[in-house]
Amino acid sequence: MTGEQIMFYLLGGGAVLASAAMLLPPMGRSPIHSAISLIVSFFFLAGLYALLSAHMLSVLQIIVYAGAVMVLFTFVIMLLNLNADELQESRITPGRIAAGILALFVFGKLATAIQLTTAGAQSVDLSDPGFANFGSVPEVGRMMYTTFLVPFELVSVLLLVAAVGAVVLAKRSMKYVDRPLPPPAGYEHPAPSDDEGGHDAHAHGGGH
Amino acid sequence: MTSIPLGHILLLAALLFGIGLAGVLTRRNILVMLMSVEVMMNAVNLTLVGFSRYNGWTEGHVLAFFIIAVAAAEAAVGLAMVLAVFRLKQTTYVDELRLLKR
Amino acid sequence: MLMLPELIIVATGFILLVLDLFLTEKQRDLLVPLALAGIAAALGALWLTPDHGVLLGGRFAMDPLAWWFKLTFLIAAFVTVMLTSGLLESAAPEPRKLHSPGEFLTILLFNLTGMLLLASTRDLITLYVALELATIPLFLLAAWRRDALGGEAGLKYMVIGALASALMLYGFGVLYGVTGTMRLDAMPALLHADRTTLYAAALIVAGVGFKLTLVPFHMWAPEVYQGAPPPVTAWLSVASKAAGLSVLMLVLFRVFRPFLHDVSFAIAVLATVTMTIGNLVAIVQRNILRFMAFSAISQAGYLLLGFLAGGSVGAAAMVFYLLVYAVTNLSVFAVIILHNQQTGSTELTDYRGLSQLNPLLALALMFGLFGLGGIPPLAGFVGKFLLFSVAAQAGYHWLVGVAAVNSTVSLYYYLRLVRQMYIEAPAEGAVPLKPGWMLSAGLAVTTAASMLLGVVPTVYESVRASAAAWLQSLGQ
Repeated sequence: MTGEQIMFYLLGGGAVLASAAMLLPPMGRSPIHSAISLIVSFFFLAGLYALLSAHMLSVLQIIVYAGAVMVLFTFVIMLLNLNADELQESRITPGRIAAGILALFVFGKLATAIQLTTAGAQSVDLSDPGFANFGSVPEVGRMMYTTFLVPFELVSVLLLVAAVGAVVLAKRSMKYVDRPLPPPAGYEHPAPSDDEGGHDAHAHGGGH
Repeated sequence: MTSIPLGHILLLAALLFGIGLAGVLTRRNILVMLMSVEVMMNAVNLTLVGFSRYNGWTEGHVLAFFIIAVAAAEAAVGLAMVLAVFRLKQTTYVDELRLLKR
Repeated sequence: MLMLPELIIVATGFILLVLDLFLTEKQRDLLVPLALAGIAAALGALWLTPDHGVLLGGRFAMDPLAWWFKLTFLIAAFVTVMLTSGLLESAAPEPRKLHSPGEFLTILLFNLTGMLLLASTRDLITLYVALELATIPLFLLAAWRRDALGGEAGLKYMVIGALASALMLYGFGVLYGVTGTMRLDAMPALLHADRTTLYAAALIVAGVGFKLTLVPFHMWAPEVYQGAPPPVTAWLSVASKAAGLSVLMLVLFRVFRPFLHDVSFAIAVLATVTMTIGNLVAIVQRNILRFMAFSAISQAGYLLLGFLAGGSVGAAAMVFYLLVYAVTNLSVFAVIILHNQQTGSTELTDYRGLSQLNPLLALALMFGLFGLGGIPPLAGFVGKFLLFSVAAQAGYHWLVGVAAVNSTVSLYYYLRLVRQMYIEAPAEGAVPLKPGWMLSAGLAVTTAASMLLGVVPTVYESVRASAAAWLQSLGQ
């Protein structure tokens, strides 16, 4: 077993374990622990990408996926103040077992198809001068700005839509649209020196 | 030449895909469901990276890049909606969102 | 210039967004006419656009059927904005008013851009990004009202949509890995008839089936149609379906063309199940938006019939029926939107006596429902006839029988609503509805179109000719 293969199994195993941990107890019980498990999984994946010479993607995975998307998730989890007590969902119901079997089935089918397709595949030799810049930023960038310019511009429009939409949806309530329900029984309002209730205490300026 | 068989890379990706799929189908908390979908999309990225590595194609990396960008947009939208709903209903559980049955 | 319609729509979207920053509440009423002007300009540009040609090294291509899809998208957008104008203006009644009109229109227009580009895409990456741009803004629009119903609808739509898109993406990844190219036209030659291709196709169809509300991927439709604001539901029921059909045609007719014959039986089964479940569950609905959701699900089943022949006749029938369905559905939704806008109700029983309160509206709604049910001489009948004949030509006589029975069943529930309007007496203290001029204009145009499209043969003739030309272009 070469060093490369050992790294692959370590990183791959780590990614699978972290993803599974996200869903199963003990980490799966609390949303914030799930989020952290997912971040760990993303780091393992970034390592895998680097091992497979996808350098730009590896860094992007850390900066964007782990560093922006997961931070957003963590933010929302913290903001909503969810904790482990709220999750009473570790019941094993027939529906869940069926769903788990379906997922296993899908995986099995894909796995057999993969075995058939890739038997005996040989990888290219990346030390070849033709692949000097494989997976690097200039190479990917060149392709993105020439061949794939239309999707590039479309993605920027999509991100704009997401930003505008997120602001409109998550704005502070407007008096005639949102009518929050009364707080759950047993909820105690914090001391009057705070502003608003615990749930809405974030520093938005409101409006746009 | 890489000594990692292509089949193993793709198998790992399929395994992650299956885990993500199981997560979406079994969990009832919206945030965990969205996180499971992220795992699925990462599995796709890994598939693309594997195929690209084996054949020396860069287009796979470009698609993976766009997948990351779209996932970021989806996450932003989804989380904004979770915030908006939570403000009203104080729950993120799909089962408790039952106003729309008939 | 080939991309002019898309560029005009994007530019309009940006202009609206920026302008919205500087306008006061009252001045925002300017935004709807501005949006309409932009869409009209894009329609004009589309008229002048040649219906074939490539840009950017073949990545963006215009073909005759893409032209018809874009026409459908633009007309649907124009009518939808007209129908929504009553809810976007600053004088709209409070609880049902759509706030932030500038952002609403911008997001709608960007959504339209994604759909327009979807019709013209020729490579996998643009297909994916355009499809996401055609989907994600809809999650936002569905939750626009931020009330309990809307938020719930948006969330369920979002999670199921994200799942469908992840499934489809895996199919794309496998396709790319096996063929080595992102160009959709180069793929048929590189695919073999093995399990990998089958699984990739299954995953992609699952993802697209979500957009087209095919069974069993239709679960989101009733709840989202009910929870979203009615104008958004109208847009969803027409444009989202058209986008889904455009992708499905792209995938089945371009990428998987050599295998189309092998999967035709699966398509037939899918069509049967979708039609039947849509029709059966529609019978028991009491909420008009859920009613329309199941009606839309069953219509998707009819649309699938066009794939059975694999040639230009099938494609022409699908594109024609899509156009007919778009105008007819929008005419029905015009009345639904007006009714909801002024009474706040979405129960079927609240439409009773409409013929006495608003005779013209009831008449228009009746024509719309008959069109959806497929009664001659309305265009809906012609469209269904064409689709059924495709199925018959392909030898699926049992399917034609099933579809005919389903059509008859659908007439039952459409007629239930007509009965409410014409035979039941109006409620105590019910007042006639007062439509704004834009909504009336939209209703008039769509009703007229749904009647004329079936009777005037030139439209179908040109669709048929376009389909023949498109089939030629597929050969490359």
